[in-house]
Amino acid sequence: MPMLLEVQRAIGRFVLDRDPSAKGGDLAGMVKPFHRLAVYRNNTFVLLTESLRGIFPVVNRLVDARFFDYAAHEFIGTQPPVGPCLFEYGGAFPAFLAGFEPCRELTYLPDVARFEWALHECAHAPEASVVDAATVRRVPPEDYPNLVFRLNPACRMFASIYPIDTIWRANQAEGDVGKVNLDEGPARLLVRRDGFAVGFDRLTPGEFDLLAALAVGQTLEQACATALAASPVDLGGALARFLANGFLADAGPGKSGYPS
Amino acid sequence: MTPHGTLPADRAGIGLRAPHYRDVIDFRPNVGWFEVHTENYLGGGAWPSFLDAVRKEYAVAFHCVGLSLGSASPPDSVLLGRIKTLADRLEPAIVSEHLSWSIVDGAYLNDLLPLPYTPESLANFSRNVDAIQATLKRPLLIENPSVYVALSGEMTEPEFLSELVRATGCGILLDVNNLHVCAHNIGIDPLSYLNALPRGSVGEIHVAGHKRQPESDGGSILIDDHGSPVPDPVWDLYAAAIRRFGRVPTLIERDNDIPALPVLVAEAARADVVAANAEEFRHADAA
Repeated sequence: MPMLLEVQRAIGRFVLDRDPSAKGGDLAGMVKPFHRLAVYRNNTFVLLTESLRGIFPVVNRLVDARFFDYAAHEFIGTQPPVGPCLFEYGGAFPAFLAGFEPCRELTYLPDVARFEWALHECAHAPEASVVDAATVRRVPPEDYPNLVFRLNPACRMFASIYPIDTIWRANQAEGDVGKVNLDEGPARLLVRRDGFAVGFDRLTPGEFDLLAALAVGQTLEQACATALAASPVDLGGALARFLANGFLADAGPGKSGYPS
Repeated sequence: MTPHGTLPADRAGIGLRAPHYRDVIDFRPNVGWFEVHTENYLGGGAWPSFLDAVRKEYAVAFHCVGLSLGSASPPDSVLLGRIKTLADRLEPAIVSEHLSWSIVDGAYLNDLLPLPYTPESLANFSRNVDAIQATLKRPLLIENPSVYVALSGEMTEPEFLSELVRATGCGILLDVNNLHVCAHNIGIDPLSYLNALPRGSVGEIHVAGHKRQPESDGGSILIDDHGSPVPDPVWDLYAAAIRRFGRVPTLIERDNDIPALPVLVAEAARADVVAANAEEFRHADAA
């Protein structure tokens, strides 16, 4: 009688399709009927593939379901989940697609996948205490330069050289997608959850730079300098927009510089 | 939060599923309780406040799929910690897991894989149940799985479960659909199986459906797809289980191809009727 761990390793190789002979080696003697072990392999791949398809519906539509099945199979076999919370599985799929030779010509595909993962992550992100304009108005003006924020944890910043938001929108409706002009230019986006709903907005290059600087913990003064060094930006207008739309959250006790 | 220390035994519950979240809050369906698949609710999003709202109105049970108690390694302590945090928040009346395993060498295989019923496997499973029960400070219920293959071992499944109950103080979640599926797939007698489990050990029953898949030899295999209505043979087995174990909290289980809420509420009501009739037989048998 083989040890439990040996049995589980052999079944694991078979289920993940890593058993080149697909005969299960020593398993054949102790698993009856052996051919039905394939049911477990099928269940594992089908359920994980459907979970990924649910997270990456636009990728699925762009490559078609059969190609998606194929890509997902390769991904699952080489990078299976490490835990049972399937909403946490798939963060490595965009990078996998970027290196997946058969879809190499769809140069924008990995960015579409990254964007869908950002939407998905926001949907499962925790609630945070959002900083609004009224909170900031309670700060003495001389302290403004030292204000520190963090990005609302239910927000993700997203940038791509492709117009990912246009591609995504075009693939929401039923029927013919029509043509998306990839020369439309880059997308700088802010993805955000509000209740159960996840949406996104375009940011100007200046807004994007300012928000990125604030998100990494620069003070308001430093962040403004960072943004201005890159491009002209209406700093007051940008900050007002961030505060009005809940992009910024409290940096934590003793860090923010404004009264709580 | 209203006190819901126990699940009602006379009114079946249903699973709490994402497509129904608005309906559950808005219409408060007439079911006994809700089952929560813990691994779906360990993130953030708007789900924590949804769960709180449901818990205000209903008792809940936790059904875990990912602790992989049969693996030849201890349970994931981080996952267990997350489940404990959710349990402290929602105070479930029952926490259950499966007589199976899913994790080997750090890979999660996303199915409930079969165990060899050997002394080594029993000692390993008991150790893992002890660890979970010590952390959650409550007994677990362990569910009999659907299997498609039999692994050689020295014990039958009810012997293994009975020993597990004796060794750890856990209870059994009897899934009568899984029992029916196993009876077909590996040729066990379901009524002997029921009689081999100790009276008083079954703390909950799952009632569900399955699909039949033809095989190349002209036979068929039953697949526990968690996505089909409850067929008559499973209702019959449910009645047989009630006659042996009495009325215990019962769940209509449907995880895939989830129908509209009224369909599940109707199946739960049917379970109540089947159980009430079976219980009358039970009293008649005893008289």
